[in-house]
Parts: sequence; structure tokens; C-alpha cells
Amino acid sequence: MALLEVRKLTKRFGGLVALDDVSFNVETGEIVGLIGPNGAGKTTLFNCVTGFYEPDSGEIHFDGHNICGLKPHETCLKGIARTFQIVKAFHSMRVMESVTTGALARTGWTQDGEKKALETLGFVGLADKKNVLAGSLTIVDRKRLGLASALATGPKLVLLDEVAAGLNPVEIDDVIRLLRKIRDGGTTLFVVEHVMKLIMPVADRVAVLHHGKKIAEGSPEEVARDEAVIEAYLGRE
Amino acid sequence: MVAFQMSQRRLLFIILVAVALLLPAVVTPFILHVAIMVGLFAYLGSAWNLGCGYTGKLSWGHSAFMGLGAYASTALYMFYAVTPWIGAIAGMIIAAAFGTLVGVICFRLGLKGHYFVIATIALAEILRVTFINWPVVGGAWGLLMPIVRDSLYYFQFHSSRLGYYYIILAMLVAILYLERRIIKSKLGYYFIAIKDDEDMAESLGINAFKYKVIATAISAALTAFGGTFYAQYVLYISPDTVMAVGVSTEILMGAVVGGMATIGGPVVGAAIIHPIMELTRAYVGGRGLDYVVAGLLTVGVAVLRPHGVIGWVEKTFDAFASYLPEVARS
Amino acid sequence: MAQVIVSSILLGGIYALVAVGFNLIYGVMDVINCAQADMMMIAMYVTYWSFALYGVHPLLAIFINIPLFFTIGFFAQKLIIDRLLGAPQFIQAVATIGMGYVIQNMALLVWKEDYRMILNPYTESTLRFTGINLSVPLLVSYIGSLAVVAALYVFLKKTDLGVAIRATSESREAAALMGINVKRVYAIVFGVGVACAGIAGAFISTFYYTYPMVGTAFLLKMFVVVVVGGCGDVLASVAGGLTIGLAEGVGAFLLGPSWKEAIYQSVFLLVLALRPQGIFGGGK
Repeated sequence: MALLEVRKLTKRFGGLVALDDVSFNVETGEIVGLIGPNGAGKTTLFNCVTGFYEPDSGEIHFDGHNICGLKPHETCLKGIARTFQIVKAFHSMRVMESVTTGALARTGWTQDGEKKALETLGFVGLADKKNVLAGSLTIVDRKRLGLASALATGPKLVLLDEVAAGLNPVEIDDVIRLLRKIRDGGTTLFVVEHVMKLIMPVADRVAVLHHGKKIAEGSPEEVARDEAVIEAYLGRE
Repeated sequence: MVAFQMSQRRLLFIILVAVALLLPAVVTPFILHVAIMVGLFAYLGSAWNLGCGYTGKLSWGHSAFMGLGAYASTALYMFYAVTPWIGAIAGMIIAAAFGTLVGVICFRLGLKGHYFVIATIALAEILRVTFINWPVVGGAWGLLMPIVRDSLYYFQFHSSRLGYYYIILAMLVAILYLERRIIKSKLGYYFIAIKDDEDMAESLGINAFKYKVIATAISAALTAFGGTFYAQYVLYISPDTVMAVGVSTEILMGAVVGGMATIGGPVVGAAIIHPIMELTRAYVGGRGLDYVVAGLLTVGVAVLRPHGVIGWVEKTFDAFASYLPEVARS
Repeated sequence: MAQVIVSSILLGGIYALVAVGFNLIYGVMDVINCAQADMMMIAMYVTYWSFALYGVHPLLAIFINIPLFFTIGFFAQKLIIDRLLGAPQFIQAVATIGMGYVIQNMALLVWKEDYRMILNPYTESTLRFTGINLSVPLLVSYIGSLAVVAALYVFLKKTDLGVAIRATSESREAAALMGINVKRVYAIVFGVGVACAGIAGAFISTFYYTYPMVGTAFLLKMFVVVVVGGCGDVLASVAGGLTIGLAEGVGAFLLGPSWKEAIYQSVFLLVLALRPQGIFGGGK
């Protein structure tokens, strides 16, 4: 049984069909990529899985449970964490406090939360900046912070929304290393990306969305050669 | 929060408390009265701050909670001779229940921004009008507290106001301590997370609705206790004096001027606004000018320094400290 | 009962006028002007004193009020409100409430708490119409308010300035890019909004008491009207005003006058629960 199963998911906004009968699986321990031109519905899919949107029809199963219709905080407690496309941060908190907030999802004691936060900060490489105000960080570090806060909740699956946007090639390599580290630690990754340089080397499998429909799925190489995919990216967009 | 070291702050606090303890020995009864009012509004402002400043959900209807506390303890005392201390607890419970109701209504409806504020006013007004139409508690005339001789048990002190002063001082210290404990706990982290970015908070497993309601209920209960104090001090309560929108404004003015979401803010704010108001009232005479001054202050702060006095002090101090890197890093 | 309904509708039209100014300011500038009702209060006093000292008929006072309050609003915007533009809404509310406080209490200082009323043959006249007693000033004020609202509507839709204002309300940046002087538009809009309060004040002083605290009573009502009708739209203010006027009047008739405030606040909460964007909403 796959860790995440999305079956025939449909989501409409008024007349616009954002997701059209989308189905696929994410197995435990995989890094799965989701690509597609702008407006294809990638973030909408994330929002449905994490409970920010309610799908119009279809099912979402996580770890054997039906999570359709759960609220965002409930999906987190079930084991799904996410980052946001437009990097979000708790601007009045320091790095350490932000990650502790995430860690408090699994414990009631601030001390335990702080311990876990420190560990996580070390893991993502932000330990030296733990007392910096979130607002003063560089973009890369802010993304690291978002990721650290999400990781601190002890998730089984992490959804990353366009984590590579705005990063230079050196930073992208850092992210690739970090993602592999996360996967090796036992957490499954589901990554929405626009930047091919990140997805191709790191993903085990890739799915492609276009106008809300899944038009291809397979290994990165297969997908890169797929006619429909090439047309979607180069063609009418 | 960077400005002062922890140990420096604790020292400052202890000094202030010591000064406060000795204050009555050196001041006139009038100044003592001003101090008591400052203490009361510092307390109420802090209670408001706990519910609103830290969560970012700014209620303008807190007078409802104050009124509930005042009426509960006063009614129980007048009709059943229950000591106001126990009446206060009853008031806190009732206020917490009403606060939960307000929270559930407002947050369930997902009210944002000014809709939320007006809704809190609406609910407070409905409560006020209900009390006006309720003859049992005196309707629009309110309740006049029968005066007894000085008694801690019955919470009245008349030969001097000392008793009131020390009680409000104790209440203030207690609520500040409570505030500090809450901020450092899971509750505190969650409140601020909700204020800064509710969506991100939710994505980290925080049930925003639940915590916002909890914040409101806690704030309501604490405010109610302040209501009981008010009733015991002023000895007269009526829907228009304890449940009106104007009272809510007075409560939050101190917090806004001093700095919301800081522990010292409401205290500083109350300490600035209320003495000025009381002094204006006493020396210039007549109602009106005191509120003009308070209003001007509030407008000034809101326009020029939205983070309040404390925010201003901190920013100034930070700017200063950045010139002394060694000191800043210690 | 019919009497009550008619009176309520008339009153509602006037609420709409007060709300229209507020709505305009909010719709275009995104600023919550809590001092709107207190400015209306000042307008009432201006009208009253014009009458008491110079014998000016209240309706004529409107022509004093319009330029006077437009100017006040125009400069108030430049000096104070302009600084509030980026601030969080709560701070705006606090600042404008502070302004309201200042205005209200200065009025209190100068004119004391006395209730005053303009008494002349006009304000005391009534009209009998199919068995209902109508207060003439109320009726005239109602018609006048609707006229003003209609004029505003036409102004916004048809004139160049009106179009510029609507453009600015949709998008500040786009308007600036098209060469519209946004700052001036804001000052004008605020001036117009306050002028509306000025007109409303003149009308209301013909049938209601003039006293310093009258602003507060109308302020809360105005908020409710704006939310019920829907923010930002002229038509919305009318819808909201009439609804609240009716709710208030009928409710007071059925439950007694002391329940008035609770009634319209309850209507407000109901609307919030069932149709949060208000009757004509869809703006912000």
C-alpha cells in the first residue's frame, strides 16, 4: 500500500477546473516530483492533500487513512508536512522559536520542543543562526527555516512547493544534498518544482500536470522524452 | 526583546516592585487613587493583551467580560451575602463561558480584520442592552454596593485606600507573571504563530480555531476579575459604566500605546495615559479634556509609532546597541 | 404599525447617507474612518449655531456645510490620514477613534452635555398622508439623502473625476500608471466623505437632538449598516441603511425601545453568519 494515494481528484473554482480526475501514488521512501507549466494545478493539489482546499470529488489516502476533508492541522498531525511556494515565516520569531513551534506538534513541553528544534536546525544547517530574527534571513535560509519547521513536526511525508525558486546553482546543489539526506533519514518527499535542475537528479519518479490533468508519469528520463510533456512546456504556453 | 539582558530586566522589575510597595508612604491620597487606577488598567490591558495582542485578534468588546465579572460578584454579594472573592471566581467562570461563546461565533464565522472587531462590539452591545433590560440586576440604574466597614473578607477598605492598592499591585504582578509563563509555554508559541501567519501555523499542526478560543476565554476570565475589583473600588456599577464600548476603548488604549504583544506594554501605556487623564480631570476640570488628551496620545502613537512605546524604546536601544557590537552580543 | 414602518424606512435612508461617506472612504482608500460620525456631530452643531445665532434655516446650512466639511476632510486627509495608509486596519481604527475622541470631547468641553434641538415651524411640522403622521423634516431629509446618494452615484459613474476615483479604488498602482494623481484623489475622496457627514449632520439636526455624544450612537449603527449592505458600494449603503432602519424600528415597536441596539446588532451578526459580504457585497 502506498504512503500517499490520490484517486480521481477533482477540484473546481467556479468555472475553472484546477484538477481534473488526477490519480497517482507516492510510495514510502521515494522522492516523487510533480512538474508542469504554470497554472497546471500543482499547488492546488498540495492544498487539497494538506487540507487547505476541499476537493470536489475523489479520494486521498495517507498511510491507510482517508484524509479527504481533514483540516490542515489534522493532516500535519497525521504525518504530512509542507512548505509554501511563497516562503512563509513567523516574522516576529527567531529561527529557534520558529522551529520549536513545529516541534511542539508532538510534545507539550517547550524543553523537549527546543531540543528537537536544535537537532533539526543542525540537520538542515541553520544551527549557527538560531537566534536570528526570521525576517533578517536570506531567501535560501528562509527556505531552510520553513523546511526545518516542517521537519520538526516529525512527518512521514514532506510536500515541498517550488523550493528551488530564486536559488542559484550552488544553492540548488545544497538543496539536492539536503533532500537526499531527508529521504535517507526515512522521510518521503513529494516535490513540486519548476526548476528542472533540481528535480531531474533527485527524483525517483516524476508526474506531470497540465491544465489540471496528469499527462505523464515515469522516471525523470522517460518524462523528459515524453511528447506530450515537451509540447506542454514548449507549445501553447 | 534583544535590548535588555534577562538579569537586567529582572533587576528592573524588582526595583519597580519595591518602589511600588513603598509608594503609599510618600504620596497623597489623590495620587494613590491615580496609582490604583493605573494599576487596574495596567491589569486589564494585560488581560486584553493576553487574548488579543499575542494572537493578533483584536477585540473591542472586552468591557463585556469586565461587566460580567463585576455583576457576578456584586449580585452574589448583594443577594446572597457571598464574599466577593468567591463571587469573583464565579464571575471568571461566567466570563470564560461568554468568552468562549464570542470566540466560537467570531472564529467559526472566520471573521477577519474589521469584521471581527465590529462583531466583538456587537456582542458586547447585545450583552449591555440585555442587562439594561434586566430589572433583577437593576436595569439601567445598575447596582449600588452597600458599604461595610473595612474588611478583607468583603473586599472593601475605606479608612484609607491602602488595601485596594496592595491588592491591585498583587493582581498586576500575578498577571504579569502568568503572562510570562504562558509566553514561554506551548500556548505562547502557538498564539504568536497564529498572529504571524495563521496558514503556516496550521501547516505545523496548530488548530488555530481552538487556540484562538482558548486565548479569548483566558483573557475573558482575567478581565472579569478586574471587573470585580472595579466594582469593589468604585462601589457602583451599571451597564453603561462597565459594559460600554468606551470602557473597552480605555482597556485597550493602554496596551496599544505601550505596545501590544509585549509584557511591559500595557503597564507602560496605562502608566502614561491614566495619570495624564486623571490630572487633566482634576486640574483643568470638567469632563472632556482628559479624553481629548488621551485621544491625542493614542492617535499620535498609532500614527507615528504603531509598535507602541516599548517597541519604540527597543528599536532606539537596538539602533544604539548596534554601534557597540560587543555589548549587543553579550 | 404602518407608521412605524414608514418612519423606519425614512430613518434608514439617512443612515445610508452617513454610511455612504464612510463606504466611499473605505472603498477607495481602504481606511476605516471612525471619526465619520463625530464629524457629523460637528456638522449638527454648525447647523444648530447657524440657526441659533444667525437664523439660518437648517436646510440652507447644507450649503455652508458642504464646502466647510469638504475642506476639513481634504486637509485632514493630507495631514493625518495619509500617514495611516499602510498601517494595519486595527491601528487605523485606533487612530481614527482617537480622532473621534478628541473631536467629541472638545465638543463636550465647549458646549457641555446639553441636548439642543432646533425648534422652528419647519422642524415641527408634520404631514398627514393616508392616515400616517409623517414628520416633514424627516421626510425631506430622507428625500434629500437619497438625492445626495444618487448624485454621488452619477458623479462616480459619469464624470471624469468619478471614474478616476473608481480606478484608484480598484488599483492604486494602475491608476498612478495612468497618470492619476493618487494622493490628490485620496484627499478629494476623504473630503467628499466628510462632506457627506456634513450634509447628514444638517439633515439630522432638523429632527433629532444635537449633543456631543450623538456621534457614538451613529458610529456603531454606521458600521453595522456598512457591513449589512456590503462594503464599498453606494447602492450597498442604501440597502444596508434601509434594512437597519427597518430592523430597528420594527424591533423597537415589538420589543420596546430599550432593546433597539441589541436588535440591530443581532441583525448584523445574522448577516455576518449567513451572508458575510453583505447584501450587495462583492467589493473588498
